[in-house]
Amino acid sequence: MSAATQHLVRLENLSVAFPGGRHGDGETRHFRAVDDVTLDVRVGEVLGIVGESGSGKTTLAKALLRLYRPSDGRILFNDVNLAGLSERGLRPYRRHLQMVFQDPLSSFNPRQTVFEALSLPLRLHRICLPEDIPREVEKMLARVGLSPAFRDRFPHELSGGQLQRVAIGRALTLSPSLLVADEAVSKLDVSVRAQILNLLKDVQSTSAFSILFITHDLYVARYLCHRIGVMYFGRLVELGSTDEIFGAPRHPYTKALLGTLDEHMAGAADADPVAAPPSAVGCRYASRCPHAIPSCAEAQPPLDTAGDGHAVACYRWRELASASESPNLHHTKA
Amino acid sequence: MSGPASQSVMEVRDLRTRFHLHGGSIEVVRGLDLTIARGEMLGLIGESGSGKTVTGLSMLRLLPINARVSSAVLRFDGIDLRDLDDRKFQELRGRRIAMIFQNPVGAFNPAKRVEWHLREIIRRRGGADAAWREPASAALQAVGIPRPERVLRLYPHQLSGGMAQRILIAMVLALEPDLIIADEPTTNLDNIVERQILGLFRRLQSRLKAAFLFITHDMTVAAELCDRIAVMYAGEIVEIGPTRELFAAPRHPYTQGLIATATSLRGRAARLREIAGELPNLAAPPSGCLFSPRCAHVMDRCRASEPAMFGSAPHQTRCFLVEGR
Repeated sequence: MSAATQHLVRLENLSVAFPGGRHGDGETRHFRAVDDVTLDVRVGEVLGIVGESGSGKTTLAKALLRLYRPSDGRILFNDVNLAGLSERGLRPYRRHLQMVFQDPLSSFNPRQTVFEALSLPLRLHRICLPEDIPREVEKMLARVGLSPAFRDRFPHELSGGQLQRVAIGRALTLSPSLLVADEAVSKLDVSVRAQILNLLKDVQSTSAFSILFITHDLYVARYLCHRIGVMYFGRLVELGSTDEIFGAPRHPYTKALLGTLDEHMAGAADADPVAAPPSAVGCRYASRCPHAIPSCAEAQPPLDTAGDGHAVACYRWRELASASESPNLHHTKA
Repeated sequence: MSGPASQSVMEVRDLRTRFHLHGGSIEVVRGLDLTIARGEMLGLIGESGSGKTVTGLSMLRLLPINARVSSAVLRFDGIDLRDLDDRKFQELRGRRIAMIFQNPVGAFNPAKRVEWHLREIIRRRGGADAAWREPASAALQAVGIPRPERVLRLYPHQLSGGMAQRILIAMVLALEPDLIIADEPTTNLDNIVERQILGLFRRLQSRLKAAFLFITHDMTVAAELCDRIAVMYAGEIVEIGPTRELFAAPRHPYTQGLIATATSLRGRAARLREIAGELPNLAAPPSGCLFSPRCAHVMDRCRASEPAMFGSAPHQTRCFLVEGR
């Protein structure tokens, strides 16, 4: 985090709404999967977005790439508002914003070989001369740790880890400035996950593009990310450096999330989204929050500055911080 | 709880499962031995493709018709499962043996409400006209669902993954089976919900005292839950032992790699430990030890012949490094 914290992408008051309630009690309404999120992705950083399933982190990522149309707000990329562009207008920007999906097998055309999958973006975006394509593909295979023998294989012949390597390679062929990785390792075994995380770390540090890394796994986020944003039911509730989030979490929800890492069976039965529906107005976490006071349920707390680059959306974070400053905050090292 | 403590509910000897595909066949479970005692939770660990899921399905005769299962012993509570006809086997599965799958929502009948599923289970145990509403609510409450009346009315698609897994555990609670096989039951859940569900499994087990086979790829999950751990690689068990011992002093290089990988993510390693390489292709397996192509300690003899299980029970290892120790 030097002085050169340039913004690559800036989300301003971004909202994404879908028609229909989540659990359908008859009335039609709009469900705001992402609700008024303001966030920067800096040049060359790995920004993690963590949250439970259903917290809106995937929707946020897809809206950033304009795979969903935001219902409100702006997506600024090099001062251009992507939220306002047509499909055609978006096209020149697509190559700069690439994505790796959760399920590697379903993100490939089953009838295309690895070579075809890797060469298609090169051809579509005219990255190199046609005769140079085989060499470029081979270079990319080497970069993601696969031997040239893989070029003629089909997706079903590859393991999940190998496929995810190809998926990363496919995204990187266009030298994007932002790679969005949505739970890119969560379907992989622990041992393969380590390989892919190391690969992501290596390629990111050598090429200095930014990664928006969506995950529900806090250990993975801690390993890979420079900064972490915590989402809860569509809202960004806390944002800070990885050290701040893990060392001095401010939002009660972040603390609860981190608590699950520590005391193993923490948090009894109260954390299922169906069991405890979020507050409709006010802070969405209020219905589950042990520190909630009546005013929490009245209006949504704004994102408040809690130190250098650290922001938290909680009315009570200051008093809670001073009350519990001493014990229990250094939790990471076992 | 009757009988000597060491009595096994499930006993498997030399289990072999072979899939017939066009143009050949692959043996994916290659001579597996397991026993699970009453009240014991045995963890079966391995990467995807190691054969751990197929092992569970082979034991319960739940594989597609192109699979051939053979074994020297396949015994559940004194019953030779190999002799059972399909109908008898099905009765056993619905009453005394339960299986919990990775995708909990898929385990429900999508056209029926939650209450229908619990009623089925309760009546299967208690008879066709058994009162079900109270026990169903009690079972849901026992897994931490505060308003069971509401949840009983829901359809499966209205459930979150964590909620569906809770309800499945409630169903297992109501069934009180003697053998439970759970296959990656928390893999698709996020951290918070996973913690809760693991806690529920622990409570379930302390109440039911069943023989419990817990299949997972996550060493740390198994370590929290299981009494013993069996590590599976390419269709074989490469190491088996009491959890504490296996964690404190893993003997097989693969087990050592799995533990190092899992703990380096939970610690603050600057770089994650990985096990290089991939599982072997079982259509053309390497000669000798199946792990030898990935092993950092490989010796000439590892490539020449396949190691047997060395060491004495309860801690055994399929590796020449352990021979004679």
